[in-house]
Amino acid sequence: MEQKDNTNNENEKHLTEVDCDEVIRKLNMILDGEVAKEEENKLLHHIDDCNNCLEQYHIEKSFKELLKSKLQNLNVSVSLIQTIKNRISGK
Amino acid sequence: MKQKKTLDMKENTTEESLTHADTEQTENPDAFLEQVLKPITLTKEEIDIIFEKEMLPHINALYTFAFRLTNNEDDANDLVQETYLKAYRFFGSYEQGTNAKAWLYRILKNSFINNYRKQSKEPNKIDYEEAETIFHSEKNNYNPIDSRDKVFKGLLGDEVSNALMALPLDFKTVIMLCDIEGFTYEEIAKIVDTPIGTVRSRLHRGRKMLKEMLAKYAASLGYDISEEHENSTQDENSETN
Repeated sequence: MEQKDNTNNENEKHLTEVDCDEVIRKLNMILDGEVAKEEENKLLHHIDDCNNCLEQYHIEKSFKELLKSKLQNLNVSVSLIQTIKNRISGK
Repeated sequence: MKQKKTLDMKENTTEESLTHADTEQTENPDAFLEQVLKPITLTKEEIDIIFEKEMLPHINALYTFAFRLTNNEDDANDLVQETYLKAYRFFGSYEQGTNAKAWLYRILKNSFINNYRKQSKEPNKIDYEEAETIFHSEKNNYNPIDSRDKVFKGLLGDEVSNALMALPLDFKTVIMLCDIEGFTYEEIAKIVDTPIGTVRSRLHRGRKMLKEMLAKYAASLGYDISEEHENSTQDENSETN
């Protein structure tokens, strides 16, 4: 783990249980729901108070939403479904 | 247990002089299907009902996954059919009450590898360590491209889909499983048969590649707002000393 970057955090001492590097590294995990509740609260608390992390958070969030909304499922052909059903019922 | 299985396989296959790079694929990917959990006490009719209720409803999602893996409708149809026939045949290895969809995806992914990896040696495969190195080296250089959402707003579904399909197999697979299907990392790790850490780094790397491709594509279409591009993250971090 790298040394905390102290350049611009006079006013964020109260929230530096986690640092920006860690938050940025875990952004995707937060959005994917892969961080335990307690840790997630710490990270989100930092994000709320840190403009840079907040911006990155929104970028990642909207990208994830973009993929989900643009990549719709296709429809399989009815004949494939029928073929599968026929084959498993031994017809 | 899995470990042991791999070792056994290796002992059995030494004569075939496998190269080291191939060992990951030497284990029969369908081995998990042969582990019958408990004797099936269901009648054929009961199995058919479960199959129809729990397995078949996922067919569109599976077909979409297959199509994006193969980029070919016929191959996707074959893959989906093979998946369902295997699922039916090896129904005893499905633990009822667990995630049927994840189980089907695992069968499909393995069938795909069986059928297609032999043909092409998958030139784009990036190994775990390489991806990890990239993953860690990126933390101070996060997001160098302009990927704010307004850049992508105008893209069509097909354009996003084409970009996704152009990604190397390992990366597009985890993106589809996570971002489209919403599987957990643990489920994805099982489906693609890698450690969770690998899933995480592939997701990170894959999304970054996809974002870059889409940003370039959007720019080429005239959604370019790169003049405003700012490098704030990098500037702030580089002043540490």
